Parts: sequence; structure tokens; C-alpha cells
Amino acid sequence: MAESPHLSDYDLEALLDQHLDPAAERAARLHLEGCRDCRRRAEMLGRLFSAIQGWEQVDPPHDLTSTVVESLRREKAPGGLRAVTVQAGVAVMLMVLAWPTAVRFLSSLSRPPLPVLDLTWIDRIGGQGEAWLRAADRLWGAAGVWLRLATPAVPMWPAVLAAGLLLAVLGNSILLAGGQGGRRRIETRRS
Amino acid sequence: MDEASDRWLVQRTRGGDIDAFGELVRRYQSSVYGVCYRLLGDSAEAEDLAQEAFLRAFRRLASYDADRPFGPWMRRVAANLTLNALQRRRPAPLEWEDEADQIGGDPEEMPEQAGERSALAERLRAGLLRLPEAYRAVIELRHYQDMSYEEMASALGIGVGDVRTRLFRARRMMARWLSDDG
Repeated sequence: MAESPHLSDYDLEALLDQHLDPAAERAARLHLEGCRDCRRRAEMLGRLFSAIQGWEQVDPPHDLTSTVVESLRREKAPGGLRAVTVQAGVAVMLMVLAWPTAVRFLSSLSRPPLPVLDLTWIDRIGGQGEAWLRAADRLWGAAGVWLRLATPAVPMWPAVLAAGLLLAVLGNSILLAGGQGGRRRIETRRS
Repeated sequence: MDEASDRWLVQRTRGGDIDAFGELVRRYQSSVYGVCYRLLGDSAEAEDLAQEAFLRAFRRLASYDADRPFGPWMRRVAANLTLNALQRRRPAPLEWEDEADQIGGDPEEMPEQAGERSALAERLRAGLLRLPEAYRAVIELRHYQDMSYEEMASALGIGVGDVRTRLFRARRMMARWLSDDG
């Protein structure tokens, strides 16, 4: 069966959609110049394209401006405050719960077990190293005494509050940064 | 639309001025709603998606290249969002000869329009809404978003051959309806 001398509908559409490669496009345009039938089909197709693209703008049933702007304002303000409040509360609770453990840990530091070392070789060198170690031991003991005495005296609540607020601010920053891509329900005004 | 002033509004929005973004919404709400409506064929759903598209664009404004016009970028955001919404639905049938008259697009369901509209515009609107979703999508992306076949294939997750076939069939249906109804 002989091949049709005319451009196929597929090729005509690809030509108008600018999808043909340069060589095929040149060949198609050359054919159109000499073929009245294909030219007529191309013109009809062009009119259809124009008709489709002639869609007139339709206004949405309600003005979207205020709805979108209100959504964005809500997203920025009260949500952020709520997040700070919740996170600050959680952070303070955690700090309060963790405080006895922290105190016990600090108390254990006041009597640190020192390793038993064979120091006789130092003795042989001249006893200098032993003297240094004994000095360090005394210093460590003094630090322990200070911690034992200081711990009950350290004002607890300001420290807990400060740490809680710090955690809340950090957590809120992370939450807000992460929440930027989140999907939320939009309230639509419908009459 | 004035691109320079769009760019200025985008800069102000990036600086935290929400009202500047409100002005962008005011300027582009009709065209963005049009994208959603053409794809969905439902006025209320299109309104919801158009709002969501603007919120998404606001959050993604950092990725927008301000040297390019805002309108096409905004409409592309809306098209992608609406296509995702369509993909989450059950797949629509594609047997165009038999299904065309059953799927959506009752002209009486079209939104109220103020003033007169040409008969051709009405037929076009009715015709587009009668198309199966998959065909409406290719018409939207090709004729209104000016995407290439490859971009459309990527956006729809189908092959270029399928894009051509759907486009071909959709245009045939449109041509028939536009001439029959006229």
C-alpha cells in the first residue's frame, strides 16, 4: 500500500505544538507550502488551538485575597505563640523532673574515687611526681567539698526557668522552620 | 500584569509584608482559579485548591526566581497542586467515545457569570468540562501552561507517546463538540 503523501494529523499537531525536530519541521513546512489540503487542515487545527486558548477568565465565587492573607496571619502569629507556650511548659517540666538526678550526680562528684596507682617508680625518680599527684588530689577534694556545699545553696528555680525558656525558644525555631511546608486546612467562605 | 511591580511585591513579601502578597493574590486569583477550575470542573473545589496554591506559593517563595514572571510560576504551582489532587482520586476512565457524555461537565453546574459571554466561549467551557479528567489535564498543561510534551509527561507520570495520544483525542473531542454545538 502506498504511503499517504499528506502529513498525518499527529504530525500536524506536533508541528503546531513545536514538538518536531528541526529537520522534520522543515520538511513539514515545505510540504505545507505545496499542499493545499494539508494547509487547510493545519489552518483548521490552528483555529481549534485558538479557540481552546480563548478561555475567558473566570473570577472565583469569592475574593480569595482576604482569606489567604488571614490564613497567613494566623499561621504566623497565634500558632507560633501557642508553640512557644507548649514547648516552654514541656521544657520546664523536664528540667524539674531531671533535677534530683542532676543533684545526685553532682553529689557523687564530691567524693571521687581515685585510682590506686603504683607510684614507687615515681618515688625512685625523686618523689616529684607523687608530690604533684597529691597536690592534684587535694585540689580535687577541695572542688568536691565546694560542690557539696554549693549545691543546696544554688538558687534552683531561676536556673530551671532560664534553661526551660532557652529550650523553648530553640524548639520553637525548629518547629516554625519545619512547619513551613506543612499542609493545613483552609477555611473557605461559602455563602 | 506589570512584571516590575510583581517583582517589587515579591521582594516585599520576602521581607515579611503579608499585605504585599495579598496584592499578588488579588492580581492572579482569576487565572489561578481558572487553572484549578479547568482541571477539576468543580467551582467549590477549585476555590479551595486556588487558596491552597497561594499558601503553597507563599511558603515556597524562596525557590521562585524573581527574574522570571510571577504569573506563569504561580499558575504552575496551582497546576501541580491540582494534578496531585486529581491523582489522589480514583483514576478516571479514558474510553472517550462512550464515556465522554457521562463524565462531569454539566453546563448547568458551571459557576454563575456576570454579563454576556460569547457562544463560542460558552461552548468551549462546556466542552472542556465534558472532557475526561486525564484529557483535561493534557489540554490544560499544553494550551494554558505552555508545557512541552516532555514536561507534560514528567508532570503526569506518563510517557510522551501517551501525552500525544491523549492530546490528540482530547482535541478531536473538542473539535467535534465545538462544531456540533454551534
